[in-house]
Order: sequence, then structure tokens, then C-alpha cells
Amino acid sequence: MSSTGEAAGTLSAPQVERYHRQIILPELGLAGQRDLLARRVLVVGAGALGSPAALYLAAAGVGTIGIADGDRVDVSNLHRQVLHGTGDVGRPKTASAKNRLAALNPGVRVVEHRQYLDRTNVLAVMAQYDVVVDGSDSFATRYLVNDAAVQLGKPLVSAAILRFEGQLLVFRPGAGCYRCVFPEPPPAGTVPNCAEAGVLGAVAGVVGSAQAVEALKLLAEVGEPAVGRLSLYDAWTGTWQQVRFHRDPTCAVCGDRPTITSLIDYDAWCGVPADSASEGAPEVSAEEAWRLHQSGVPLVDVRPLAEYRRGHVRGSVPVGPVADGSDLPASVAGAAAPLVVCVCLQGVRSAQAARRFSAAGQRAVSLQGGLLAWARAGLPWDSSSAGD
Amino acid sequence: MITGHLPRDLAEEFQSPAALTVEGVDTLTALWAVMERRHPGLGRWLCEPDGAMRQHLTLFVGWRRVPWADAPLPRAEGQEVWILRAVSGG
Ligand SMILES: [Zn+2]
Repeated sequence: MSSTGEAAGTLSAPQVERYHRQIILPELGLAGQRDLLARRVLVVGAGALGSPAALYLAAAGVGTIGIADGDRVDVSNLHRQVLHGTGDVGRPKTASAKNRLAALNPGVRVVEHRQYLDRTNVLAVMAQYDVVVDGSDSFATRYLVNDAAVQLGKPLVSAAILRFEGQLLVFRPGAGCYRCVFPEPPPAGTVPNCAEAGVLGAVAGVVGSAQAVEALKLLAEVGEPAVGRLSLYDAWTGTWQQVRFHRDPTCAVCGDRPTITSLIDYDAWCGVPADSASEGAPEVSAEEAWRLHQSGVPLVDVRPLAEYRRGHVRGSVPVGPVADGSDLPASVAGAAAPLVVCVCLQGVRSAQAARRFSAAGQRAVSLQGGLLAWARAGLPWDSSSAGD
Repeated sequence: MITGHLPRDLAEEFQSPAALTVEGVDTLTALWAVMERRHPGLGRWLCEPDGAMRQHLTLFVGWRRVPWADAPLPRAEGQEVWILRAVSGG
């Protein structure tokens, strides 16, 4: 760098030395490096994806890196969460991350957000940053972060991994969002998480590093960020595939007529059972549910109405997803219904609903296997809009 | 011919390859039927009892997303079809 002094502008000599191999990329240059040093990125989740993403963002000299995570380091994290070391077990992940990033590059500021993001804090946290990198490990957080990014107009680099596979999506305001691609999460319990199904740690290294690359392009405003593309990494075959998407005009959040205009209860919407309600709910077989219904026991369908309309147990009443047990409509509850049978597609959400009703004092059981088991037993079901 | 790509864990559950090649079908509905015939349970996992694809699945035909609301389902002869759902691991 012969003209370092003048061209470097606000870059110090140690900075030029540190970032030299990056600065000599003509696409980035000194101006790009100055931009990175002035930018702020939020990494949601200091876990498997957040680790490589944050490490590369810090190494690259992104000026401010926020880390949002309310978890503590567990020894079972270490095979994939490379921000943390054996000596960090038991420490808050944000503290461990801050130490590691400061050791790597003391020239960047690391801000700890030692909390799980939820609808009460997400907007205030995300508003402080230019780009959001989501490597969280729950559907509830993913949809929360997406909806907040749309509300705030923040670019979002979202990724997820499972077993040998990874998904990477890049969103810019106006160019679609996570819900444009995945309008709904899978029903709770139907897609395993990494704790249940496992994950090869290095898969997170590949996908989290790709997140850092996309975030750096957005932050420095260089290159062609993979906006509007879903990149699929299959470590088993060693292949990347890309499919394209556009903003969906019917999207509930960024569509032409959004139906979700403020943050919602994401745990309830994703069907996450409350901790205290994780015990098994009483279940009845399809035949037993049929007999109960014949004797006057109401069947209540706890799925979204659109799902109900496409197929439901004949005679069931749609009550919508059950966030808490006091949701039962007056037309169903009361002295006339000492017991209700909860119904969903596969029996997962209905079991959660039955637990919530029971906790609120309404006796409830769940149809085991849901509508699918009901239909398999040859019992009647409808796909009309009887629930309107 | 249609090539249908499935999430690997789902394919394994129904003892299906992650990429299925199917001859002689030209609609997605027919593709689901073939999947169900070859790998019992798979088609039912993908579709509601009335044949509509489950709402949490997302479909890409020829590398482009087919918006869920679009009906009827597009002809897919010669296409790569990706059936995906969100995953949450991080
Ligand atoms: Zn959207």
C-alpha cells in the first residue's frame, strides 16, 4: 500500500496492516473497509451458526457486533459452537462470545444482549443495527426476527441447519421475507431439532460462514448478495443448490395486505408447549373420540381456520390455535361441555391444546393421531367451509 | 420425467431416496400419488386428506417458488421439483 497515509483516510496503520489482504481486493478497497468499520451487525444466537458468522464478521472488522443470546454454554454445544471453549462451560454465551471476539480482534466493539429476543425487546435491540444475522435455534425466534426485520426495514441473513443440511436465505426490505418462503412453521413436533436429530458440527461452519459472507456484502454494499434465493447445502453429497423466490403479495407480513402488522405470541403460534405443560395429555383413539362425540362431547379443532377448511373431522368446531386454556368459546365451554376432545392434523397440537385447557380447568383429551388417524379409521370428515 | 427432491430426514422416514425420478406424470398431483404408491405414507405426509399440499411445505418448480395460493397446480413435466419446509437448527 504505497499511498496508505492519504488513501487510508480514517484507517490507522495497524488497521491497514490487519485488514491488508481484504483491502487489496479492488471490490472492497479502503472505502469498503472504512464502511465495515462504521457498520453494526446483530448476530442472533451465539450457537452453531452464530459462532462462525460472528468470528468472521469480527475478523473482517465490522465495527460493532451485537450478540443476542440468553443461553449458557453447555459441554454438548462445543462440537459445533466454536465461539466457546471447554473453559466456558456454564458461562453466558454472550460473555464467552465477547471474550473470544475481543481476543480475535480488539478493534471491534462487541455488545452483549444477554437475553432471548422476544416481542418485548426485539425491536429495541434490532433497531440499533444495520444488518441482522439470524442463527437462532427455534421457529419462534426465526419468525419473530423476520417480522421485526420487516417492520424495521432491516436486511436479514437467515440460516438454519439440521443433520447434514443447511438453508440460507437473504432478505432485503421489499424483496420478500422468511414468511414469503415459509408462511408457516411445521406443526410442533413434526420436524426434529438438532438435539433430537443431530447435526454435523462442520455443517454449521459452512453455512454460518456463508452467512458472514452475505452479511459482509450487505454491510459494505459490494457484490451481489443472494437476495431472493434460498441456498440449500447438502453436506452428504457436498452440493449447493439454489432456488429463487420473490416477495409473495399474499404474505402475512410483507404482502400487499398484511394480516400480521404487530408482533405476535410466537411460542403459541409455533405450537411450543409451555414448560409446565410438557407432561403427556390424555389421548383417545379415533373410535373412542367418535363414541364420545356421539354422546354429545364436543370435538374442537385447534388448527388455523385455513387448515380446518381443507379437511376436518365431521362435526368438529374450529376454535383456532389455543394459546391458553381460557380460549374456549362460550358456545362450546360451560356446563354443557364437561369434557372436550381436541383435534388437529396429527395429534401434536391437539395434545398441547388439551394440556392448556386442562391447566385452565376445562377437562380435555386429545385425538391420538389427529385427523389422519380419524380418516384412516374410516370415520367421516369434510373439506367444506362448514366452519365459516 | 419429474425429479422430486425431498428433505433428507423425511425421505429416510419413508425409505425414499432424497431425489425421486418419476416418469409419465405431468402434474404435481400425479407426482404425489406416485410417491404415495412407491413409499406408503409419504404422499399422505405431504398432502391434506383433500389432496392440497400441507401449508407448512413450500414448493419450487423449475427453481422458482410456486406461491401457495396459486391454483391449479402447474404442469411440471421435465421439471425439478423441490419440496421444502423450514428447519430451525442453529
Ligand atoms: Zn413476506
